Amino acid sequence: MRSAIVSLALLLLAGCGEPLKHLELIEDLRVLGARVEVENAPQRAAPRAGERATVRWLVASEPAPSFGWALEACFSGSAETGIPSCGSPAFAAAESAGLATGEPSLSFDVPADSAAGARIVIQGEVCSEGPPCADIGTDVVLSFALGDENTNPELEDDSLALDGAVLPAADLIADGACGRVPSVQAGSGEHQLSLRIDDTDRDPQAAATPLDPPNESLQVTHFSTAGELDSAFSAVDGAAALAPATAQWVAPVSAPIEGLLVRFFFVARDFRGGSDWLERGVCVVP
Amino acid sequence: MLDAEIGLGELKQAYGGLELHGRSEWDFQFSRALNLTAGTDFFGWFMSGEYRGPLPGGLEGDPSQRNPNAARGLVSIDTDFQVVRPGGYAELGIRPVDSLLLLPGVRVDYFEDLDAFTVDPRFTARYEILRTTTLKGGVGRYSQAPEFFQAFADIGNPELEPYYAIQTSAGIEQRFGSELSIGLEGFYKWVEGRVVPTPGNAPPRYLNEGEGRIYGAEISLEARPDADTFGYLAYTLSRSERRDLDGRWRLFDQDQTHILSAALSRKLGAGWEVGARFRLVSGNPDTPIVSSVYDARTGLYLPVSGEVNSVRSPTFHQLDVRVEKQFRLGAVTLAPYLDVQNVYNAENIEGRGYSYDYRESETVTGLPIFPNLGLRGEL
Repeated sequence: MRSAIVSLALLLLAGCGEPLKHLELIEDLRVLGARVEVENAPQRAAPRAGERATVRWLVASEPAPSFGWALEACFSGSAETGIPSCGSPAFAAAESAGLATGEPSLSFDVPADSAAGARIVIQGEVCSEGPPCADIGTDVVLSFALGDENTNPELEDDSLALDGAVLPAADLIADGACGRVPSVQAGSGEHQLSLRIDDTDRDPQAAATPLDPPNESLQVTHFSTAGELDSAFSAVDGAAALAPATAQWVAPVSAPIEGLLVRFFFVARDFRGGSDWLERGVCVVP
Repeated sequence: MLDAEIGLGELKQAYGGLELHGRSEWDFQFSRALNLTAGTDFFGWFMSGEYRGPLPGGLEGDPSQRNPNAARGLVSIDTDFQVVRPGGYAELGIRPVDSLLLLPGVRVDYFEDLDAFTVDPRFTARYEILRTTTLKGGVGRYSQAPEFFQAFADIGNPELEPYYAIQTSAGIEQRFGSELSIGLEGFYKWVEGRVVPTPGNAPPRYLNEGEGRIYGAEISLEARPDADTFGYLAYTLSRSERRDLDGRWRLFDQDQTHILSAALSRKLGAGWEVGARFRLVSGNPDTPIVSSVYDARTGLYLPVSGEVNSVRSPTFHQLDVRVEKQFRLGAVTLAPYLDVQNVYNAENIEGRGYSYDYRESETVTGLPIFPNLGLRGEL
């Protein structure tokens, strides 16, 4: 006995829906990255026992530029996965004096008797009120291995370009910022943002197996305060030839007569605590 | 032969090699009252593989599995491995009297990759008290190996052993003529040595220190009021729990307190047949996300989970109906049918989707009403 079945499903399934919130769009207070710098050697992303280091945080907000924060440093517990957390009391702490602007930072001396390979955890909170933060604050964490031979990517001032033209550094907070940055026509459609990555931004790494890439991989996250970016992430594969990290940005369809300042944030990180970022802007004009 | 490869950026999983299955079984009928069934089986993997990806975590009830891959740490494995598992079994069928059937048995397995033997004795019995009433019961030990990768040296614990369950059940079947039968069965299962992840997946990453218990009862009813009608109704009440290294009992991911199934079919004549099936099942347990933390190392938010499996999705319920018409076309029997799943378009919640920072969420529902028009043919 042989049998066969032919069927016709009388339903067209709907595609995936819109995300609840767009990661790549800055609409309120957001923490976008953190960078570890060893004192007198800011390119190094992992201090050794006895050294002094500073962890700086990139915080973006739209529109309010001020926020409160509190940070502390400690040694990690034993967990290798999950959320890094303190395994012992904090050995350094700092907090903003009320609301602040700029980059939250915590400087600390790594205890001289720290065990080799110990992991340090920086944890805290950033919020639009405080400190202490109310429930709506963002809890933040960063962990890295002590003494790791890891350097920060170093993004150059001319690394970020819009449609091939370098976006210059400018003070984007002060009044009149729109007059100091390149302009883009409202409704002008899609533009390409391109971040140049240099060979020195990727640390070489020892390959324990043939699967391990010869260089660390970098992740680039990109954000804008208006318009539409096609994604929040680009990857610079440690096993692939070096190529710019790119994102497509669609300009807002309208802008006020005085222009609309749009800020871009590009953050490169190596998943080991090394990071760098650029903030640039354009003025969208009607 | 097996051969598969997937990759994304520097993430890669590739394996290839030989998979072997074998099974043979013998039956020996010594007398009307005694028979022996014996057999052997074999499973083997002779593989080489490469893996670069996130460190595996626990497979069950481990909320960290929801963390983004980048937050779980990458590992690389490039290895040849083999999983060789021969086994043998024997079961005696003993009928000291016509109404009593005793089935003692044993199964022996060797897990070459774990260098471990297991011996699992089992015993089942059926006793017809009356021609319409049967008692049944059983007890047995059932062993199972960990997932093969959990014993890999670089990402797991080579000291892992097979774990086992002791299963017991007892029940009664009662027939009322040829039209109706009712069954009632209770069951209890104890699981010992389950593989559980260590806190934070720290080395040795997995231990044989978990326990489990599953218990409950099922009542079922089969009705054949006439030659053209069949009905079935079953209800199971159960609870399945496990205890990991934290020493607290919690629900398994798939625990379902209530399972109600009902089916009815009827031949209407002239080749027409209609049927319906209804299911009502407790929603799956879920672990709530209570907040999140921004991880600057990865640029991603990590969910902070509440108590594991401490909440439950709403009850699942669905009605499916089917209409079929059979007719012959020469030597071929054709049967066009209309199968409509989820007739009343129940919005059964199957999960929850979250915003990137886990501050907002929305429910994810299963299939809506799903009509399916088909043609079945038999030669």
